[in-house]
Amino acid sequence: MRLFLFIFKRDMLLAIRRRRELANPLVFFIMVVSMFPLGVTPDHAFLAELSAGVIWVTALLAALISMDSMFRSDYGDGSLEQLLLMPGSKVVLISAKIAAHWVSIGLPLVIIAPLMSFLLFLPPQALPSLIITLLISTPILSLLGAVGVALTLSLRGGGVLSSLLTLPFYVPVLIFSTMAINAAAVNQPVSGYYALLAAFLIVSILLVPFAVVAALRVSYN
Amino acid sequence: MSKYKKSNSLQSTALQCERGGRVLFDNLTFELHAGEALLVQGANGSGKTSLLRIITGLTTAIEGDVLWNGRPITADEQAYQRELLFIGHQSAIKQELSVRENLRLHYALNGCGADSMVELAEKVGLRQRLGVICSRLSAGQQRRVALARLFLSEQPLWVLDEPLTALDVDFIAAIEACLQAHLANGGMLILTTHRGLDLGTATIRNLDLNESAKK
Repeated sequence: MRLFLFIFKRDMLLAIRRRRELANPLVFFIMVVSMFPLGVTPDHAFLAELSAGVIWVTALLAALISMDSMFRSDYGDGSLEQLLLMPGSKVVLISAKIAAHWVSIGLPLVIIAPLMSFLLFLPPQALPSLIITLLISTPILSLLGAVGVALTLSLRGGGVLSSLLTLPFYVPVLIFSTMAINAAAVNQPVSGYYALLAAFLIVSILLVPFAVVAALRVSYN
Repeated sequence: MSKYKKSNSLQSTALQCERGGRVLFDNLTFELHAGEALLVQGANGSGKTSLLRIITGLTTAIEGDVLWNGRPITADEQAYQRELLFIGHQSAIKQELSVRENLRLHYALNGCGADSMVELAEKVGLRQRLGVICSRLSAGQQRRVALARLFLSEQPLWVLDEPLTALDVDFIAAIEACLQAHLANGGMLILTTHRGLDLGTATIRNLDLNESAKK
């Protein structure tokens, strides 16, 4: 637990120092979503129909472009190897890094999403499900992204490859999340979708740190 | 006076290392005991860094094992990592953080250290710069921040990859004194350097990678 807090605090401090990198995904998210009414149509009904998908796809891509920051700079300056040489559980170490990444990238997206939903006229009854799906699923995005980044660390231009590796695993999350929001918009039950997403989250939390540790070993060999 | 266990030893069984399809070394063995230094020499690209990374356990050799006190280091990784201090040629300094914050990370990494932060900064000559962000420091000063870990270390085995790059004469003398004290305490030292280094009266073993390279 001490190790977890130490790494978490360290990564949060670094995230705060790199404000520009922190703002990047958020600015991307706001810009893309606000372009839609301008570029497609300002028609309320049409935008309302699109809104769940647009918000989700944009949030997903915003998370994806920020994945690299999780390990790449620590790998580049040699601090990742120092962290791996620390006595202590590597799984805890990795979990702390992923948690810090989610708090600094995923959580701001969740917070800003309700505001963005007004731009796209998301039906008000669907708003809670937008927030809940984002809350459950953005950690999944950070977790799965970590595996892709860890696997491609030692490659030049690994960023593109890691996106390609990760994207297929994001698709189910995207499908179930938008289905939940659309169901909520027409007042249908949504708890089934939540349960599926939560199950996905739990499985990722349990398995991903081990996969990342193994992937890092591959990258260092 | 010996601070560390006299029985500590590090050995290897015929190590083989390959990089990019080329065999860097084969059948490489070494042995190191408490109070001794191992000087790894070789031309650029002869595998010095690869060897050090194998010794730290970051990379695994294609063949052969590194043995700490007779047991493979992979058998109890955490126990071995408690005994090991590794400083690579990348300084592992976070550019965005101040000297003070970086030193604080050192304390956390080492888990110990008797000196206070100010004393430590004094030793590496950065007392006036504690609040400065590391990206504003010169290469030599950044190296000093990285090497501050040596003054905190309570680990018997030090593995240093080119520790002296970018340092000025005064600080090299300070590092030499620190290494000598470490060896006199019964510590062990493995390092690569292209520069002569005065290690005092300690036993120095040489390992030349040019000789063991496979033609």
